[in-house]
Amino acid sequence: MLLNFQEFKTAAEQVEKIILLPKNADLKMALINSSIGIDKTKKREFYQHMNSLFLNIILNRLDELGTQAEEKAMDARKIIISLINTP
Amino acid sequence: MFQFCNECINHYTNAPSWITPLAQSISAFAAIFVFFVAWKNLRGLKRAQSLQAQMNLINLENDIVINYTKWKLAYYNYTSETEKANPEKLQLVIIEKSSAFEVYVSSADKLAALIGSDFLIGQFENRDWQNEYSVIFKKVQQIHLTEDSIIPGKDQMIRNINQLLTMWAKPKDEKK
Repeated sequence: MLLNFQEFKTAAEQVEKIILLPKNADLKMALINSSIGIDKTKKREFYQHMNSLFLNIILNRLDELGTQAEEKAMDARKIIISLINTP
Repeated sequence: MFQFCNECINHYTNAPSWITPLAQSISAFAAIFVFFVAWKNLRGLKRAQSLQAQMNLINLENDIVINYTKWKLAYYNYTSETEKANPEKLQLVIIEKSSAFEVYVSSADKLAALIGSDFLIGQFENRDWQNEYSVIFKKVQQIHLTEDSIIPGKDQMIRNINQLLTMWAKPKDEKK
């Protein structure tokens, strides 16, 4: 099921927030909290979109996001995969 | 067998005494000739195989670079299309994204299979595969691990890369 425009925007906002979190922040909790308000049937799509956005951060190597951004995006992607694959 | 035949010739044809050494010489010469032809063919075959391996290698190395770019483009297309929120177009870019991922990872895995095989041994002495490809293969491994596409047999896609990286991680004396 495809997300609607607002949900795509929410995913992008959540990704930005997560990247700006401090280094020792609980990434898993932040990712779980990011999907609050998203319908259960759309959670997978929502996380998949976040996963793609995190990948773009890695591929773009955006300097303005700081040196930790790439590492955090990679960790976030691993957590997303475990969240998606956990029933 | 050879001796037996010569005895037969001597016995039944009552051949003169110089026939036996002559027959032996001809047989030896024929054997050497056959060996020489076989050796030449084998060398030709090895050269052809070597050329084939080089061509495959060049193609695979090009494929990885091209497929990596295509895969990156597919992700950019996907994220830019989400901003337009056109459901039909979005479905297409999702398919494109999964397909680009599959092609990129499988081409890298094929190269890992070729490098990991015995086929290249002695053919590219100046190339240091570990130095050239360990970083690239580790990156493919990470991308594969964090990719969310639902592809049948996804876990098997990087079997050769995993094997090769495990082999490279071992101390030198433990390697093949």
